[in-house]
Amino acid sequence: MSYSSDADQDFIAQAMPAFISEAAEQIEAIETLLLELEEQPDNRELLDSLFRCAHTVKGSAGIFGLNRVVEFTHHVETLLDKMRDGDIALTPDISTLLLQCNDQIKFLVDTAADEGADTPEQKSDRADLVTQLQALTDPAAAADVVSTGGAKTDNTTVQTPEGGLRIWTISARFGPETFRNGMDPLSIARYLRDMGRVVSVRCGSETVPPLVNLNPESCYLSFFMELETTANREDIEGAFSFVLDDCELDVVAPETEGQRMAPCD
Amino acid sequence: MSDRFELPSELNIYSALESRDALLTWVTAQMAKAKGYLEISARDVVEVDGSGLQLLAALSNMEQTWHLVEASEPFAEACRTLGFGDWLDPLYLKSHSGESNP
Repeated sequence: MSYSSDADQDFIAQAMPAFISEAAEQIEAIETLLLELEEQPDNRELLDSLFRCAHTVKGSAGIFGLNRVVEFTHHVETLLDKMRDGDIALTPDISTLLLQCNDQIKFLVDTAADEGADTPEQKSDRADLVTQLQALTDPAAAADVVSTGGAKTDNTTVQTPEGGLRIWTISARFGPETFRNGMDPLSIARYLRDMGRVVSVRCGSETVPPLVNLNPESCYLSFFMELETTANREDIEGAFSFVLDDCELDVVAPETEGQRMAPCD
Repeated sequence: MSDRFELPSELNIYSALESRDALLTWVTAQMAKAKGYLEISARDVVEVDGSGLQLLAALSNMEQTWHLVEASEPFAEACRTLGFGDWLDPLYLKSHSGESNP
């Protein structure tokens, strides 16, 4: 569910340069770290830093609703996570793949505001990268994508296991009146946390004005959370029921990106 | 003026204006001294809400870098919950009673 308004567009326009600049730094760091890792493939600290960079890009992109960046970077993050767990070792091929993925992330960030730049060729290249990533992290799923004749798109209709644990991505931008109305994003984050397991959560400080310009009673906060839970969409959106008039909320089940969950639970 | 800023025990919407002014005054004075980075302590924080954390998010958007050097457990829990876990950087954070990570 998405609530767009002029105020939201203003918010995005104002904060987007900060996001692009921060993301550019992370992307540059990813490249440097990958090159360092080629020299020292067993360096755990480098791998952790690499994961954090990718994770930061994904989290910030989520706050801005840049779903193409979030979706693609998620696949990269999954591979990095398996490498951290020691399930997959860094080979020269994987290193090359990750560098190509980083270029793709850079492209998606640079063209975040320009849907037209995402040409069919770009989409096809990206789908190839995702297939290669999945071949490493989840060979069965990758085979499935190939057999269904192409890449996953926003309209994918993969079924999720019913009633099971699912990882929801929740992106919330709170309106300026939130605090004055007696509401608190922190309380909502706590409420969500208690519904399951928080895989990740990131609050965007790029959306907050510098201290010198801050009206401390206005709310500028937004967060992006990945929540593993058996709860359904209604339960999750319920956490926001008291702020919905003054909040932009996106709740997405990744397996059903772009598709509204049927209330069948 | 001390070298670090002690956040108040109540870091919430009720004290937001006052806390913001105190923090900004201190930061401005520190910037004049051209220090490497600012040290913020949340040792005494008992009550904290989103508006309190927002003050530090706003500080992050000033030119001067800052690091958290002490954190009470309620403050650390709030940071982790809302997604400001990066502030709890063990490189700068002196472990405090409650949670310590050897």
